[in-house]
Amino acid sequence: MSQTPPDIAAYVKAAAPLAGLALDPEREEAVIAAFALVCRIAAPALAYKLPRIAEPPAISPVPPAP
Amino acid sequence: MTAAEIAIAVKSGKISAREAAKTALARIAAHNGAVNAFTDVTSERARAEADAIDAAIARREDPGPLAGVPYAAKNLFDLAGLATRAGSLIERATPPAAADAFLVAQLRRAGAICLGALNMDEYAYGFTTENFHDGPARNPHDLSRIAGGSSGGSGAALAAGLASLTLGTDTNGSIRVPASLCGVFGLKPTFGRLSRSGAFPFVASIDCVGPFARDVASLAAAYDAMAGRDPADPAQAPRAAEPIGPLPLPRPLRAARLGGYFAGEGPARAAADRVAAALGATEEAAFPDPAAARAAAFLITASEGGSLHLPDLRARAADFDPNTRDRLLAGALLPASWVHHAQSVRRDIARRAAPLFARFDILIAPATPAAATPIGQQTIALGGETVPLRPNLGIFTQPISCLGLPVLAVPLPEADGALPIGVQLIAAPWREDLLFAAASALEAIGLCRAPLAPAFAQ
Repeated sequence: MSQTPPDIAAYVKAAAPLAGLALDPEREEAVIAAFALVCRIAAPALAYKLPRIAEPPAISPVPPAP
Repeated sequence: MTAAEIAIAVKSGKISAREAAKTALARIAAHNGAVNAFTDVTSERARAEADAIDAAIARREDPGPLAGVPYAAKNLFDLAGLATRAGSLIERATPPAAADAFLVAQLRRAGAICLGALNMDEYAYGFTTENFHDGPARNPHDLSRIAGGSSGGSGAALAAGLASLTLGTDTNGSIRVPASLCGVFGLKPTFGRLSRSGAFPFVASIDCVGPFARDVASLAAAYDAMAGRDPADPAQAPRAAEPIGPLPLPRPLRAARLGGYFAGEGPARAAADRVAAALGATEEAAFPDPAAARAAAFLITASEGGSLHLPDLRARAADFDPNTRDRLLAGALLPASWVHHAQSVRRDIARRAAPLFARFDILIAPATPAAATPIGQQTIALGGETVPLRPNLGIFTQPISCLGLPVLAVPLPEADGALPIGVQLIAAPWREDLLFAAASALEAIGLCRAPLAPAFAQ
């Protein structure tokens, strides 16, 4: 699985405008810190080795049978 | 009186529903200023519903199993005529709800009386209910401390005796954390068990709704009343209601204490150990990759929450609670591949956890790493490290709800000095009956109970 970006600040600065988010410098710093926290806590999931075929759970778009 | 006792008293004519409503409204008027649990009080509605119950009894009609029981709902549940604010500034400008949420309608049909809406973390994204717009919900056991979150008002209202039942939601621990810190019982049912219609969403993949109560019989009565198929909720499992019915449920239970990651420390560890001993748990069980399950839940939460609120984050970010905004913004930027991976991790860990339930009916773990912390505290010491408080209050709850398992948080009063702490009872999917059996056994021996906070007991 892809690991966290080597430069979180650069990633946030590049990704925010692509998501339509205009962040002033103060907000940008806060979001970089929040993103870094997500990366820290997410690390064990990103490092998790999945079986070759692993389906995610899903809410089916098909209504249940009556 | 407990909720179950109020229903018996009202049905037998010992008290009227109007009296029950009046008593509850008077307690709210006297004490809500101190605990800040309610954000809206629906006095007229409560009186009208109470009068309808009394009229039904006068006509010798069955007023329902929760006749005259005063309850309140986290303010993300639709209450007809009120804007569903979901703890936010943004949503309170939306038009009033046209109808009640499914769970609220079910409680109304069961004869319960709606008192109003309860404080919460903005958009349910938090574990402390230090709401920027509405102020913090205060813990009735110590008003300088947090009530937990995100359903903090639901826990605080019960512990202060302002309601006899409350409704909350739980994505990562938002029922179990406030239940633990406020010292009340809380149930997070199996994912897909109860309808979420009319509850403001947070993380569609994980969100659950459920009740809080001060005793197990009342919790079971509320859960039974809320059950039922709702075609309006595509996430509800196509499964008939499986009522708990009268308690206790005598059965030998095979229980195990979760170890390792879930060992806990200090009073939280001691509380889980006491519950394990009381349930005869002699074995320690290993939950597969709890840190990865917690991490997967964290990723999914951040991403789905960020996506849900992206239009408002683009247009009016300044209107969000600062405690929520930056995490939602960060979540909106997460790579899709991470979230897809996290969902697959979730499925794989659920597959690996399933065999545990062939050996054990109940798994036991702390609900929170510590008792209620002071309002405003930013960090907590865990495992010899100082870590941010807000995300880590859910360190023991997140891995469990990530897998959609049912959990009942049971309270141990005065587990940390004057403060209570909760313990999670965890069962296989769809086995809420085992949770109630274990909880009623723990209540019967006096280990787990939810007395009113002493300052509100008079």
